[in-house]
Amino acid sequence: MSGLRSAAIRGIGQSAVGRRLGRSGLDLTVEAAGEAIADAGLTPSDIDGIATYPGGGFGAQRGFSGPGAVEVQDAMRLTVDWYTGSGEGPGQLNCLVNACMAVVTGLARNVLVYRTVTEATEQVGGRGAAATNPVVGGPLEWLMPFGSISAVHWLGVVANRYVTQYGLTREQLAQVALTARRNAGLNPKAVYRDPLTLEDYLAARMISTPLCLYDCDVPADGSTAFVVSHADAAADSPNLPVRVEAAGTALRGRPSWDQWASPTRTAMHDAGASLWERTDLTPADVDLAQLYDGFSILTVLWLEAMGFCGEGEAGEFLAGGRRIALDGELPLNTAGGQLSAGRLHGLGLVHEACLQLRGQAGERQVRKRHEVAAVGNGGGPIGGALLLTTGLG
Amino acid sequence: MSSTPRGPAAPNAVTAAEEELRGLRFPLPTEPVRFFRPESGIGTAPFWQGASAGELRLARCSACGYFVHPAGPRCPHCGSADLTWEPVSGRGTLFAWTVSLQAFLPGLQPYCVALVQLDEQEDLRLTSQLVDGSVADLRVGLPVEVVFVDAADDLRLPFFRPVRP
Repeated sequence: MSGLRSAAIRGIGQSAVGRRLGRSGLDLTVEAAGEAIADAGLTPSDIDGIATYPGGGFGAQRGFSGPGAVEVQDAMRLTVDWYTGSGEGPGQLNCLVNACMAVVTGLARNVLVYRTVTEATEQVGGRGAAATNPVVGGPLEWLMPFGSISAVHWLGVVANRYVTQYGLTREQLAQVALTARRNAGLNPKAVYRDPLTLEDYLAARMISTPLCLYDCDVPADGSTAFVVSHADAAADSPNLPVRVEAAGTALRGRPSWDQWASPTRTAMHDAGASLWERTDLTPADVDLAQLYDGFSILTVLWLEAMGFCGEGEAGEFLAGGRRIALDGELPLNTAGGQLSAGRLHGLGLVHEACLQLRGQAGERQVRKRHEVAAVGNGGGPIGGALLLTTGLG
Repeated sequence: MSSTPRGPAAPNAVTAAEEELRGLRFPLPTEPVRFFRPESGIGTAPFWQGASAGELRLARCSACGYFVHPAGPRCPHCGSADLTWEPVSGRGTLFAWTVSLQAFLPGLQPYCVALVQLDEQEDLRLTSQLVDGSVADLRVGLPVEVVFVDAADDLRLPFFRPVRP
C-alpha cells in the first residue's frame, strides 16, 4: 500500500530544449515553471512548496545542478510553506517523491517541482576538469585516479559484464538507441531527429566498449517542471491529473559503481522491487515505460529491474525492437529518451509519461490503452521508480 | 563472433564490440600516469602509502579477518572497530572491464579499465587498469597480478597485468 496514491501531478511544463541555448538555468526554470503552473490551472500565488533535484547548496555544480530552490523562490517571488533541494534519494525522482510526501502530509498544497540542466552550454565533465589534476575523495577516490574518470567507464564495465554474463549482442543493445531515435523523429523538441539505422549504429566509433557513440545520451539545456498537488484538490484542474500509484525508493545493496555483489543488479533493482511491493498492479498492467537511458545499457538493466523480463532476458526482449516500438506491447522512451531528445536528467522522461497518460503526445501518442506508465530513473549507486496512472482511480 | 542471444560468451572470446580491437595493446606506462589525484586523507592514506611503497594494502578486520574495501570505520561483518592495513598478494582475476577509446584528456591513448577480483576474498574487488596486455587477453577469469606504475605527484598506482605462465 502506497500512501503516495493521494498525490497527483496536476501540471506539467517544459522549457525550450536544445544544445547550447545560451540561456541561464534560472531563465529556463522560470519558463518551465510558468508553463506547469498555467497547465495546472493555477497562478504562482497558489504555489506553496518547491522541490528540486539536486538543488543548490554546497555541492552545486554549474550546469548540472540547476538553480537552487531558494533562487527560484526569489526569482518568482513565491511564498512557500515548505521547500527542498536534495541530491540524495531515489535518483532524480527524489524531488517528485519529496513533493508527493509534502502534499500527502499537508506541509504544502501545491508544490512546484523542477529539474534544470544547462550542461550543453556549460560543457561540464571530465575533459576540462581532469586536465588540472584535481583531488578526488569519497567513492570517486577508488575510481578516478585509476582512469575510470567518466560515467561511460563506470557503465562500460557494467555493460561488458552483462555482455559476458548473458550474451547481449550489439544488435540487441542497438534497439534502445534506434527506438529512441525513431520516436525522436516525432518529437519537435528532440535534439537529434534524423533517422538512425542499425548500420549507422554498428559503424559508429566506440567510446568505451561496448558502448559506442549512440549508446551515450546527449548533454542538453532545458528545464522540466511539474505541479504536485493533493489528488482531492487536483480534481478541478483543467488537465487530467496523473496519479502517483507507487514509488520505488529502496536501497538494499552496496551503493557504488563497482562494489555491488552483482554489477548487473544495482540500485535500480532495489527501486523496482520496492515499487511492486507498494502496489497491487503488476508489470503486466503497464501500458508504456520511460526508462532511464543516460547510457543504453541502463535501459537494458531497467527492463529487468522493473520486472518487464527476467534477469538476463532483456536482450531477447529488445531483439528486433518490435516489443518496445510505439505500437508494441511496451512502448519505450516515446519522446526519444535522453539518447536522442537530450539529457533532461530523468525528469524529461516523467514529463513524457504524463503527456502520454493524458493523451497529449501528438504524433507519437501511444494508440493502445495508455493508463499506466512506469518510469525508472538513475543507475549505479542511485535509482528510483514511479508508477503513474490515470483512469484506474 | 557468436550472436547467441543468451548464455555466457564463449571462453577466451573477446566481445563483439572488441573484435575489431583484438590487436590493441595496453603497454606498461613509461610516462607518469595523470588522471585525478586521490585525496589520500584520513581513512584512505594507508592505501596510497602502501602503493608508493610497492605494496597493495587493504583494511582488514582483526577480529573476523574480513577485508573491507573501500575501507570504512568498522567491520561491516562483525562490527569491530579494530581494522588494520595489511598487504595482500596482489593476485586476482579479471571480473569485468571496458576499453576506453575516447581521448577524455589531451593525448590520451586507449586503455583498459579493469574490475579485478582479488584472490583473498570472494567479494574483494578493486577498480584499476589492465596494462602490459592486449584486447586479445580480455576474458572473465583472466589471472592478473599487481604492478605499480608511477603517477604524477610522487604517487604510484596499483595496476594489474596478465600473469604470464
